[in-house]
Amino acid sequence: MHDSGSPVDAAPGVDVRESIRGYLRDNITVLGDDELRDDDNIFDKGFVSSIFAMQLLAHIESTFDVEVPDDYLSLQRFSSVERMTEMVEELRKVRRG
Amino acid sequence: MKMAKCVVWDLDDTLWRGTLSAGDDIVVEPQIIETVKTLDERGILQSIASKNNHDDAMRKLEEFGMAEYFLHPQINWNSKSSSLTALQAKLNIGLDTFVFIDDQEFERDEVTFVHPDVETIDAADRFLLTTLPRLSPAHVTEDARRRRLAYQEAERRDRSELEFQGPHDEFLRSLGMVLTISRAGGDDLLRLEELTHRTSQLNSTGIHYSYDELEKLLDDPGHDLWVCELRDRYGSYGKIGMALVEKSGGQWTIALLLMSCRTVSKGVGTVLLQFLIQRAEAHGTRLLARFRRTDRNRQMLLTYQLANFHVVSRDGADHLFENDLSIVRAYPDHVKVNVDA
Repeated sequence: MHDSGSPVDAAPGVDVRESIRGYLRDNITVLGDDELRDDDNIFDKGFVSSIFAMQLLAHIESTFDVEVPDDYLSLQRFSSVERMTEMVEELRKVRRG
Repeated sequence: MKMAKCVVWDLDDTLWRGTLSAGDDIVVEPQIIETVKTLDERGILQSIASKNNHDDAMRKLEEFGMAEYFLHPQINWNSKSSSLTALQAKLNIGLDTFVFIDDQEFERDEVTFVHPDVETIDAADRFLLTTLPRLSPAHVTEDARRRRLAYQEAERRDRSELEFQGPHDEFLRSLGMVLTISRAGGDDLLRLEELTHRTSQLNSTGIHYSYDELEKLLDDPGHDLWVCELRDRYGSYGKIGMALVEKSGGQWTIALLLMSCRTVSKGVGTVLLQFLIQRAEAHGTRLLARFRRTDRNRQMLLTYQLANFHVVSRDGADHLFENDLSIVRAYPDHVKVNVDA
């Protein structure tokens, strides 16, 4: 998935969002049947433990082949599907130079 | 000199006299039983690397009442170095903290060849084990004394987690975890000193504190020293976290926050920090925190920044954070928190 011609790179907006949403849905059961909207604050909706945050970070870094720098590890950037998607796209732009 | 954490025993003509597979009469010398018990009481883990039939050897150990002292015994026909590799992965401690004892020079050399950091000892010196400085910690904490039990409880927990059908947080809920936060007392200091030395991932500064330094802080009205203990239905994890808070004027500064890596997967890493946030808000003080970035503590950085701490100033690896206390969250619902302030 690291080549520039791969599906994730070809349609960044859709797949990044989809992937992050899917990961959250699979791993936060407190959400139950509630609809998770892309702008919902996941910290308000359900408890995000320190270990889950680490797993989420590892998922983002390995799936999208980005490295999240220290100053990006903030509540704002991780608060919702929307924000995380923006972050990934921003980091990929930096990577492409 | 780095202290050793685990002694790995060969069986035939080392832990016991005789060769089991040759049908010898197997004898365990009383001093060996004493040695194993003494090391166990000192918090030194022990295991086995023996070329034998697994079930026969385990039955023999049961007969001698010694089986319970050994974690993940490696009894098979593989090389001893591969048994050490397996133990390193299972116990998650550095190879340079292992001591391997065997009567055969070939086996000791094979281990040294693959793992030069493992100290090897001739079985002829077996009665000297308890006198070795690397196996003689100056202080033995309550947590050290029950270290083997803690590993065995963790093993049972891991097994039931593997068997558990369902999402991870449901499993965590089923553990019935209780985290107790209290002010440190004199008898906690050895353990706290040990925690500052042994913890690297969930550690906000990586700075070591000595017993004497901690003792001074304990009596200092300008500091709060908090300790937390975690229990679940399998037993106690022991004292697994601490926080040191400096109080001056209308502001508190968290000088050190750490949680043992034993608890990393239990989703309790944020609780102590949430406790301090709740308490600062209730007291109407500002809340700052010192953070020193190391190559190991990214998870602690993430924990702070996701708890809404922001960088106020920075000098190389040293950060000063502030939390404006605009977001105060409740504790996670899979752990019951008792506060004894």
